[in-house]
Amino acid sequence: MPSIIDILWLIPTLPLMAAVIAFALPKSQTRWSPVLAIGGIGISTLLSLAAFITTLGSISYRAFLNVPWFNIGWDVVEIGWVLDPLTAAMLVMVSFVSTLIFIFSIGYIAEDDRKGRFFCYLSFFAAAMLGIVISNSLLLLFICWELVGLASYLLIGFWYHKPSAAAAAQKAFVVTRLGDVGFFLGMLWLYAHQNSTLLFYTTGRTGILDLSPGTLQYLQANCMCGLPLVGAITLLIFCGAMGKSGQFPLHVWLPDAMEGPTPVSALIHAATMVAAGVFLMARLHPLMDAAGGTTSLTACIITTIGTITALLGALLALAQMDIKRILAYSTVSQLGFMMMSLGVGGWVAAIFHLLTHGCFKALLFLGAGSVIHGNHHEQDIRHMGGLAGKMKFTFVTFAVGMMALAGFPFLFSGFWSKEAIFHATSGWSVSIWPFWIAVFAAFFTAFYMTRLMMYVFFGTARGHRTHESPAVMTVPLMILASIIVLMSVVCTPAWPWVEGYLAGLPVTYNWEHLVEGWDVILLSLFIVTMGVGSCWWLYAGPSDALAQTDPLQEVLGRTFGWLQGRFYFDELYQLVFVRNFYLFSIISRLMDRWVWGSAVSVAGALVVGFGWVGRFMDEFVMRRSFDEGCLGFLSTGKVLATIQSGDISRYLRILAAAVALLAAILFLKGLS
Amino acid sequence: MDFWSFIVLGVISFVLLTSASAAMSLSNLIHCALCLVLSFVCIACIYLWLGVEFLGFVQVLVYVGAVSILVVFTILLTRRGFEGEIIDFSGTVLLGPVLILPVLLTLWWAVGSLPTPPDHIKTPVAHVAQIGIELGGNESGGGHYILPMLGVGILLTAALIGGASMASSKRRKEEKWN
Amino acid sequence: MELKFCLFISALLFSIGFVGAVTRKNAILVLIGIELMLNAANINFIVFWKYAAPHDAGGLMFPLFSIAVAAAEAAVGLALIIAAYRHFKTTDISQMNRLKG
Repeated sequence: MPSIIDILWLIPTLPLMAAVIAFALPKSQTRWSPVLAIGGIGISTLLSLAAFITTLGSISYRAFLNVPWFNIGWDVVEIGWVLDPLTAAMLVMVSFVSTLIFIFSIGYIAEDDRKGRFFCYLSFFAAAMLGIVISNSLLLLFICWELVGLASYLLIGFWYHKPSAAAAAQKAFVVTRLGDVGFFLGMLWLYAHQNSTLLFYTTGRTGILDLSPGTLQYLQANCMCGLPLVGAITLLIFCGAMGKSGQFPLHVWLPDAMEGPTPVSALIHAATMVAAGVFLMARLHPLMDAAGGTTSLTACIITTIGTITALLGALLALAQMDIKRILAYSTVSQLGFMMMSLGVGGWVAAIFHLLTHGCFKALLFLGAGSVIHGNHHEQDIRHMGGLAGKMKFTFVTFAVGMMALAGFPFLFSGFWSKEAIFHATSGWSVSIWPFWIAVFAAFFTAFYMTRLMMYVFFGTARGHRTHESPAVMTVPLMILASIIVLMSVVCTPAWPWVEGYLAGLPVTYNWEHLVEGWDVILLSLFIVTMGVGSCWWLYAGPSDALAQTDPLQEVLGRTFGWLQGRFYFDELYQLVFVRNFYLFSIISRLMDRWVWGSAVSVAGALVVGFGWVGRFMDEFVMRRSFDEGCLGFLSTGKVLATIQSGDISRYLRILAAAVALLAAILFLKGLS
Repeated sequence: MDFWSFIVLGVISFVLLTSASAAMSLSNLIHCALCLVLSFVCIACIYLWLGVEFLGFVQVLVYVGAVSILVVFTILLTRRGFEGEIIDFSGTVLLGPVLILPVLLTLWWAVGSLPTPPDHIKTPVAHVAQIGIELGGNESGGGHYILPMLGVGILLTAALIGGASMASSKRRKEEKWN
Repeated sequence: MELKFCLFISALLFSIGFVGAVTRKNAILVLIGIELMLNAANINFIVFWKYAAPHDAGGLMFPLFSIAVAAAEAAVGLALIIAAYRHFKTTDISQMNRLKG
């Protein structure tokens, strides 16, 4: 029985093989692609559970396996995978949620004729995401990072004949690419200063995250603006996380990514891919500690960006009319929460929230998918209403998800994880602002979720006829809902095994922890009640009116327009960046065609010219001279040929003369 | 030297030179050939006088017997009637003596400046047997001229074949040339 | 004394043959002149052998071979003349000038 670390590589490879086979299936066999995909991810789930159980064996379990990949000169570039509590928890969450979403997709994408390709892309994405999670090398992580971006592009633009979808896919790819530039630079900088070719943990304790004293001393040297070297590197890698996780300046792609099918939104843009940024920062938390801990400039920057994102997302979600857009901005906001928590040093809380968020956001998206499917692909909430009676399973599960997201106390896991974040931010030594802004954002979270519920499920029906979704779609919803409730029981602070598990600390069973942060608990309780209550009061009017005017719009007036227009970020970017880049690309094209192209043509013409010169030389100089030479020979020959007159008597006379001459010479010689 | 032998030599040489001059200057070709024969015979007599009888006989056999006959045959075969053969000196007649003068002078002077040979040594007897031994060799030596003999044999064969083929008439080729 | 006389005779013979070969127009007469020259050289050899170097058998052998070779050469030359006569219809060497440049 091989140990789990040896076969850990199978976890991403199985979905990858399923994707390859599904890609190669002929059109007639496409009904097998869901089977392949679910089979692949199902086995990966089982293996992840096995890995998870293995890590429970000891406190702060860590196992890794590095294999050499290729040689560059003296360096051997190795890649490998690692298994520790962080990895195991992420593996279980990702693979389990992926499996449920794959099953959901069977029902959702049933009418599409490209569904074989859909499952292929989904499997490919799952493989790449799992690759990010298990990788022990920053290089391998980056490779899988890019592959995840590619899968996201393919899936957002799945309905490529829709121009908005194609544009959204391109936008997602380009914006995340901007972040990846920083990631790559940070990676290169780190490679330049590390001897271990970007491995996190190695047997000789030379990995990036092993942080041997020699490495530490080097990394903590100042480079600029008071930032130590490791701080600068962390910030650069954080750029990548910003792009992928939709933090403040680069958040614009996430809402547009909702053009893809809903399972895609659920999987990629709620549960897993956008969490990859948070995961990356959590993985690199030793670097952040080396950069100066929670009070360093790096941490401040990260926290600031996270806070801004949290607030921004929550505000923008208040005013959206598309069910998926609301959830997308909700995701942005929650990611902001996670980043904020990372910045203040609570990476455990961030991961905990990531795990719970993965579950309930996937649930919410799948529920939205069920709603959309049931309403015949209607996505505007103004045309929905009163679905609570018609779509019972969807309603109940959606409600569970909403409670978890809002942070409804005690029964739903989201409460505990959000409370952990509050706890972390309240203890930040630099400033208390993040805490208060997080509180506000939580208030808005509760508000907009309740608003969503009011619009969609309560009141009277404003839309067309609806029907409940088939079982293949509702069963995953129910499974997820039950998981969330289960997690709320299991993960209470009374038995903080999640924190202890992730942080590698011994876990104690202590009731007092439950009431230790009682003031924070009370505060969050108060906020949630306020949010839900105020929304309920505001939207309590006749629901038919909701189709025309939003009560919030009456309250906020002009501001509502700003919120609904998403603060016009896209327009700003279009004006400032996109137009200039477009101009630049036109200039590049002109340069390429007229300048470089003509340079090449000139070079070509030069060569041809040389050829012509050579030919002329050959024809008029060499050949002429050669011909002249030959003619000279000929004329000389003609002249010489006159010697041969044919007259034999003359020949004889010449002979005789020669003899006479010889005789004369002899005579004269003899005389002397 | 015996007076009478000297007279004999003088007579022979006089006849020789006269017939040679005649052979070279007569206009009738047959007369030239006959004078040539006379010259060869005189040369053979000189050889006999000198004591190399073998060579004299060879001279008669080869030159008189073969070469002269060949010359006569050729004259007969290349006759073209009796006209056009009277004036057949090429160029100026004076050119010949002018060219020969240096040669003659040189030879005269060369001969004149020869040292006198030692006293009359014993004339070697040039028996045929000795010549044969010299040419072919026997157990006690000689045979220095085997290779030249073989060479001469090949040469004569080649000359025979070549001459015969050249002189033979090939009607077809002649017509083509004409 | 006999040596010089004989040598002188052979020199004269040589000159006669020389003049004839150079002067005469008929090809056969040129050949006759050549034969006379060869014979003069043979006499030279014999005379020298007899009076100056009687120990050297080469003085006798060389004329022997010379006679043989001269005979062969005469045969070939006369055959050539016959062949040339067939072509040019004359033995006049001044007519045989086709081989000119």
